[in-house]
Order: sequence, then structure tokens, then C-alpha cells
Amino acid sequence: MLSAAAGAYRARLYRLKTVRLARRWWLGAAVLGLLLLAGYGWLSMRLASLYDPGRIGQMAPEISLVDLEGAEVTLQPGQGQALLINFWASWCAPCRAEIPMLADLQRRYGSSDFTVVGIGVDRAPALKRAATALGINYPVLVADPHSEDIAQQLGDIGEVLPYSVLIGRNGVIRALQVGAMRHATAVNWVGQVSQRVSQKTGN
Amino acid sequence: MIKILRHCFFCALAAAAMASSHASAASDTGSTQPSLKLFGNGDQVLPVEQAFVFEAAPLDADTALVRFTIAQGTYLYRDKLKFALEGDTASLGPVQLPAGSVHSDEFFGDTRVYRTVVEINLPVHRYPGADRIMLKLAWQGCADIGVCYPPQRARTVLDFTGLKP
Repeated sequence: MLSAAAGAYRARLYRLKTVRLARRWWLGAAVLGLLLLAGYGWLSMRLASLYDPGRIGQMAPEISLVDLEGAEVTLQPGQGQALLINFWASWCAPCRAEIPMLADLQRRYGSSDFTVVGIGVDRAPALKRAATALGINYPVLVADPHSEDIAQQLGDIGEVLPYSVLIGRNGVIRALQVGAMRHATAVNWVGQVSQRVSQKTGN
Repeated sequence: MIKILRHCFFCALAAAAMASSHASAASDTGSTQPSLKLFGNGDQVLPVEQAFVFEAAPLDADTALVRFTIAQGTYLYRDKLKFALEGDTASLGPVQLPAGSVHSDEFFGDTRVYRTVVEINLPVHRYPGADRIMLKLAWQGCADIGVCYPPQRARTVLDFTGLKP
């Protein structure tokens, strides 16, 4: 009788142990998942502190700069074309990593509705060389070091690069991004401002 | 007991899902409020003037010492560190920059960078009577998190008064 009870007890222990081990595996996975997501969230928070989200919802200013050929170009928000303005520089490695994705975006979705515009915080010759090397297929303007910092005006209070701004067709600032953008984010941005995302396949 | 553990698992999943949506909201649309306090003071991405702090002072009659204190998680490019003296009452001798450490980059290959702290000796040849010399410095760096700071410049006075060769 005792041995039977002991046997039953051991059997119950054994079941509890396997249950605990099985549960531990789930918990371990959940904790690991939580940690990874927390790490990702932490990273996003760090970058989030470098820009001013208060710009979102404001009208973008008119921007008058020179392009890589020396011609003056004025960006007039609210004229019906949405802009993805990307601040970059030839000496900025993360900028260079992001640009091929933006060129691809321009190829797929550039239209009268939407265009990427690069603003180089850099000297024109260096920008020109980099633009060619990176295959930039959208307008590139040269920031004027002697006038008010446009990146700061558009919320880049940390003055870091790369920095991107989404301006809607009505000229309102819709989104900001510090650091390189992921492809999914960029497509999401285009979708916010242009009809054409749904029409084009293969995104 | 099993029921409690199962509920905890789903709690963890729910918490992870919320963290995920919050995190993607922060990075994708950029429209969440910046929160500096949440994860304490540890490795924040600092404004450039806090990431790189320099001090410059005469070491002896014909040497100045420049020290950069570089915040954790950031680095300075060795080839972007520049020094010059203003005016014609002193001249700068050849500057030997410390080697720094190697930083690998898919675009620029192996570059040399400085982390934590770097000290540079500047040989200063002063003409007689020139005690106060204006030093110009330039530097540029990035943060490991994936952003770069714009090039920085500064001017500072080196006061060699009382230091005899």
C-alpha cells in the first residue's frame, strides 16, 4: 500500500516536473521575446529624444536652396506634391546605407503626387560625388551653412543625420524620423500621402 | 498552478505586443512623445555638445594639451580632428595624433576613431611676448546607434603667461 502510494506520489511529481519544464520553455521564450522587444523599444526611445515631434501637424516652411548644378530651387509645400525630405551628408555612413532604399522608393512611387528630396548638409562637390556613387535619382539640394538650419526648423533639434521628414500634399508635416528609415516605414509614409502605393504591385 | 502559468504566458505575450506596437510607433511614424526618463540615465544619445567635450590648456612653455572626453556609445573620427592657431604670433608644429581604434564601416572601410577619451599634444612655437594664443579646433563624430553629428568647430584661448621655456 505504501509503495503504491509512494509510486503514485512519484508519478504525480514526475508529471508536475515535466509540466514545469514544459512551462519553463514557454516562459523562457516569452521572456526572451519581451527582452528583445524591450531592447528595440529602448533603441527607438533613444532616437526619439533627438527630434521635436511638436512639428507634426504644422505647415512646412518654404525652402529655397541651390541644387547640385548650382540652380536655385524652391520647395513650396502645399502645391499638391508630397515630399519625403531626407537630410544626409557624404561623410555620414548611416545616411549612405539608407539612400539606395530611398532611390528605390523614388523609382517605384515618384510621381506628381510624391517625390523624395535630398538635402545635403555638406559641400556641393562632395555631395555630387556621393550622389553619383549612390545612384540618387531624386533632386538633391545643398544646405546653406550661412542661413538658418532647415533641419532644425523641421524638428531635428539634435542636428543629427540622417533625418527625414514627410510633408503631405497640403504642406503639413506628417511624420519625422531620426536615423535611417526601414523600407517598411518608407512605404508606409508613401501610403499616407499618395494614392499610388495601392496601385503599384510588388512593394 | 498550470492555469496561472498559462495566464502569465499570455500576460507576457500581451505585454510584448504592447511594447512592440509602442516601439514601432516611436520609430516608424516618429509621432510619440520623447521620453528621456523611462530607461534612466545610462547610455542616452546625447546632444553633440555633451557627447564630445574638449579641454585645452598649456602643458608647458611650448606645448598645449587638448583632451576630448567622448561619451559612451559615441566616437570621433581621427581624420576629422583638426587644429590651427589664429594670428601670426605663434605657429603650430607637427601634431602627432594618437592611433585610436579601428572602426569598420561598409562604406569607408576601416577608419580610425577615438572613444572614451583622447589626448593630443600640440607643439606651439611662440614668438617672444606672445602669451595668449587662440586655438581653433574641429571635430566630427557619430553615435553607435546609427546617427552622425555634424562637424563641430570651436575657438579657445591658450594662456601661456608665466610659463618660461
